Amino acid sequence: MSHPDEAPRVDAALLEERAEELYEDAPCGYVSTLPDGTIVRVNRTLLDWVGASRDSILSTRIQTLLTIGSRMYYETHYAPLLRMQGFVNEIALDVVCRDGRILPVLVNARERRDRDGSPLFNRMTLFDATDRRRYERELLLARRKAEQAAKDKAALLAMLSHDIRNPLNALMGVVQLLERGELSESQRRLVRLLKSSSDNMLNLLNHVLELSKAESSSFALVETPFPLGDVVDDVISTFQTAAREKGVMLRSSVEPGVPPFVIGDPVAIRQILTNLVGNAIKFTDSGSVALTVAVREVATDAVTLAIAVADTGIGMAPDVLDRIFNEFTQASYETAMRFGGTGLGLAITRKLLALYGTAVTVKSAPGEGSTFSFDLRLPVAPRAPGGAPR
Amino acid sequence: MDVIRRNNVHTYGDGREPIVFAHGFGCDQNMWRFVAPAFADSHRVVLFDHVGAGHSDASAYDRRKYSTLDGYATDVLEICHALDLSSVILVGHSVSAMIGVLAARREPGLFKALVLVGPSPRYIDDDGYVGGFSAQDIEGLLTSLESNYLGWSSTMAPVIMGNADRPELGAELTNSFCRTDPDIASHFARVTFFSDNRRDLPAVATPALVLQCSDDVIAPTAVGEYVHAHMPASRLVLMKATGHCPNLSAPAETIEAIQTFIRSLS
Repeated sequence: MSHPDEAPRVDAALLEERAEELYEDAPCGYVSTLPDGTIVRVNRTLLDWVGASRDSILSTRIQTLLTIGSRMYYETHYAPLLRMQGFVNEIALDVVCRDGRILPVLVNARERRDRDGSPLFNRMTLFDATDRRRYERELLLARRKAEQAAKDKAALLAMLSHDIRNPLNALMGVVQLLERGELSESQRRLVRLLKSSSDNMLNLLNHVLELSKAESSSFALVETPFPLGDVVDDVISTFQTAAREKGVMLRSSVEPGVPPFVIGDPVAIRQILTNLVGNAIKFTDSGSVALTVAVREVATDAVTLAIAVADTGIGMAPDVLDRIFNEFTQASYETAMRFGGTGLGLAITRKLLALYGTAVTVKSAPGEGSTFSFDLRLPVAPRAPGGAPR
Repeated sequence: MDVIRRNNVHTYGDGREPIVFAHGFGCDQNMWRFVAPAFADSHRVVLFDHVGAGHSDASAYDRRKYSTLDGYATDVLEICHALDLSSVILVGHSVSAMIGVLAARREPGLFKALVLVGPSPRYIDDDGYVGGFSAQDIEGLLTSLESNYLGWSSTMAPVIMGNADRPELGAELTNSFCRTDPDIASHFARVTFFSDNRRDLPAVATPALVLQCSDDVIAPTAVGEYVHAHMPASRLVLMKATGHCPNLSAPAETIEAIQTFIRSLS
């Protein structure tokens, strides 16, 4: 029987041995280095990974185990970061093994400091990141491919649209000439059909071109002072005839607090309003369409406007709402057949608003109409262009 | 344009003579934190971030302007003019050493002296010139950058960006210093490591101190000696400090070398 005092000593020895084993055979590499990178302690796991003996590695610098690219990263990023914040997390480095194999690792490190804050040594933990790096590469490649494919698609669309628009313009000219001539009633009907079809086609092409323009990285919004009220009036008068023909009341209201001149891209904003009002009229057979501009917030030199287009049209179910901002998507095939259109208007609207850092929200239910609204923050122009104070 | 905001310029100190610290590739003005305060009693200390680094205005990043180091030199000159500085001592680390040389070449009258910490006029070996790297090595660095930004930009960026005003919140989670936009960092790396400014060295007559570390893989001793040999009014100090960032690893030795140099000027 052992002496009662001996038991704890045995346990302590066991614990110590186990801690040593845990260190040596941990599933990650451990290295302790002096602040300049000189290795003073290393575990068996890392030695096995690298394929080096302990003696050959001690007193060399950790940097010498890295590929040149990683060594440069170590000197320009890792070392400064560790010195400044006392730790680094998940730094990706590449270790060169003795057999020439490259081992990707993720490194966490802590800097141990003395009481004055001077660095004493660094403790690094290295994780084998072979799999993770492979997944990351695959993801990166997939992303690049997808981005390239999207770019190619947009370029192709733009080119096709241009190429189709030229002969189409010629066709439309011919239709106009035909219209002026003496035609029988049935011929006139055929020419009207030709005209409306070619109008639709031109509209589609223009939308495709606008979308690819808004998508291109070189597209930038213009910043110029302009009267927002005039743009609203223009949009309304563009659609007044179409609304009247359908028996839909089209109206607009601009809150008195809206500054007369704001700074923005009048063409882009007109495009956004045109798309929303045009859609609203298209999907409304009776009742009204209203475009409203209100002031949400006023800052020293800018204003946030709450702009909304509300209709009493057919409305949409929740699952449809998720899809309508996608390119070439209409609520359904039947919708496209019944109402026509390109399905690009909302995609263009979304892209243009994204350039303003905002987005459209939609409230809608089947049979209860839809309201498309968005906030738009624009700098206020102190005076009208030309210098006359307003 | 507000240069002070664009480059996140900070100044402090009681002295009249300005000393401007320019950080190198991979970091921001934070890397002068152990060195710059030593000059607060004697100088007007000026710190800034290059556009794309630290808290600079990244929206001011113009790929064409910053496709050569000259674009960065323009910024240094603009900062000096915005602060109405004269007789400037410019301390440039790493790539900013060469940016300083370019600035001094364009406006020699503005600078009293240059301190070049770990300078390299060309990183890639050339006929008879040893820069320390091959073009392939530089591609290796770009790959390494990419690997690190993959993790950073996609998963950590929202965390970092969300706490931009309170970096201590992000600090526990990730590497909060010296963060930068990945695309800008890659471009800056390319511009830096493919640059060749050897011809600018002899054209600068401003007194210059070359601070060369021992065992610096980024700027080997032979490169520091080359800079010294080709700048007419330069002197070379070989430091005990190892690595590429003596301003962080050996601040006392760095401060002492700069102060000795400044004293010798008057």
